[in-house]
Order: sequence, then C-alpha cells, then structure tokens
Amino acid sequence: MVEGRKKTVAMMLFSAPFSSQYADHMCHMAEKALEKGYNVEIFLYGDAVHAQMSEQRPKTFFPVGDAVRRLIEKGAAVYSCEICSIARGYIKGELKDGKKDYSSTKVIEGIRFCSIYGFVEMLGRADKVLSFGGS
Amino acid sequence: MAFVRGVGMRICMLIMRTAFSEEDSERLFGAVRHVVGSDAAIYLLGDGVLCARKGQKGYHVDGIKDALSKGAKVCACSRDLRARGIPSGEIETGIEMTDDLEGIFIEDAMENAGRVFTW
Repeated sequence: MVEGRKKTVAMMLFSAPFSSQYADHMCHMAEKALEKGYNVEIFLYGDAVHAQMSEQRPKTFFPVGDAVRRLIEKGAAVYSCEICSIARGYIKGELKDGKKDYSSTKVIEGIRFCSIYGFVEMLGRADKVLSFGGS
Repeated sequence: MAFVRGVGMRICMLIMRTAFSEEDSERLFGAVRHVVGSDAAIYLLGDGVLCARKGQKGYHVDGIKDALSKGAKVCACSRDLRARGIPSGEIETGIEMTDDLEGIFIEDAMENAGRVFTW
C-alpha cells in the first residue's frame, strides 16, 4: 500500500454462500486487502446474510463461515442488512429498552447489523467499492 | 469509441462470470470492447477464467481479444484455470496468469484505478 492515509475498500455480497463462488471470492479478496493494509468493510445483503450463520460445516465447499470469522478477527467490519436478517430469522430486531434487539445465537460473533442507510454511509467512507454476486 | 480517457481514469474490471451463461454478457463484454489500451485492466477470476480460453467464437470473447489488441492488461487466475482443467497452452495469447490475482487486482484497484467494475 502507498504510504499515507489508510484507504478503505467496501465489499458488497449479494449471493448466498455455497450456491456460487461469489462469497468465496469476496472472502479471498477481503483477506488479501487486509494483508495489504487496507481497511475492509463488508455488507451482506439478501441471501448473502446466510454467510453470517454460525456453525457452518461444509464438507467440501470453501468454509465461508470460518473465513468471515477470520476476517472479523483481522479487523474487517462486517455489516449485515437487518431487514434481510430479520426476514431469515437470524435476529428479532424489535425494540427492547429503547434499542433494537440484535442478540442472536445463530450469528458469528462480531457481525454488525444496520439498515440500508448504514450501507449508504459505508459507501461514503469507501475509496473503492466492489460488488460480488447478484444479477 | 473511447470508454476511458485521461490520467487517473484507469479502469479495472473484475470478471467472475462465464462469457455465455448469462443474459448480461452483452453489457459486460460491450464495456470490455470499448476500453482503451493501457488505461484498462481486466482480471478474470472464478468462472471468469473461461473467457480466457482461445478458439472461442462470438461477440463476447471477441471483447477480450479486442481489449488485448488495444494494449489492455488481461490477467487470469491460474488457480481457477487449473481447477477447471484448462492448460496454459489453451489460453489466449497475451493473457497473463497468476496465482495471486486477488492481490494484484486489489492493489491496482485501490492505487491506480479511477473506476472499478465487478461483474
């Protein structure tokens, strides 16, 4: 990386893990970006929120869950669409003591939830944006 | 037609799809065909490496050949070529192969590109 301000790359994943290689490609790319000293922010949208599921145990496929956990440990900020996650039963997202309830036993530790407005803010912080999947 | 001109307008494209399987191939390779010379780099990853095979016919793969002939850098992931059983002898002349496509792409995209497209 060129010396100076640390640049940020935003990566959007639209496809579910294990249905195509997009999640694999995004994880490899994010890992490489972190190695090279860039900030990495990831947004999971639609069926891509399944990448946040804890206890994934693929026998032959690339282990997306392990890769997401490793990315978080290395400093990547992984955001997940709250509406997509509520729809798929990962979180309740209901108000509890004036705050939204994002507690879940089904999600990898360190996943952050935000609305589509949070995604727009993420785009504002990014120097470059890469999208993976969708059509 | 000039798709990209001027300093700082380098375009980096990351292609992860096949040339023939999806309906948007015309959009994708239409854009590839209009990149200009060394201002452009095309990276083929995953199923995108299938675009690198020589001997294919049609509008889609002609896009890669056009880009090469205009001086664009085209780079394919050798891991993904091996995974799909494509030997290096079957790759279009001029396409570079590397095991570290992600590393080369991310650095080019972050440091040199004015625009980055992923497909």
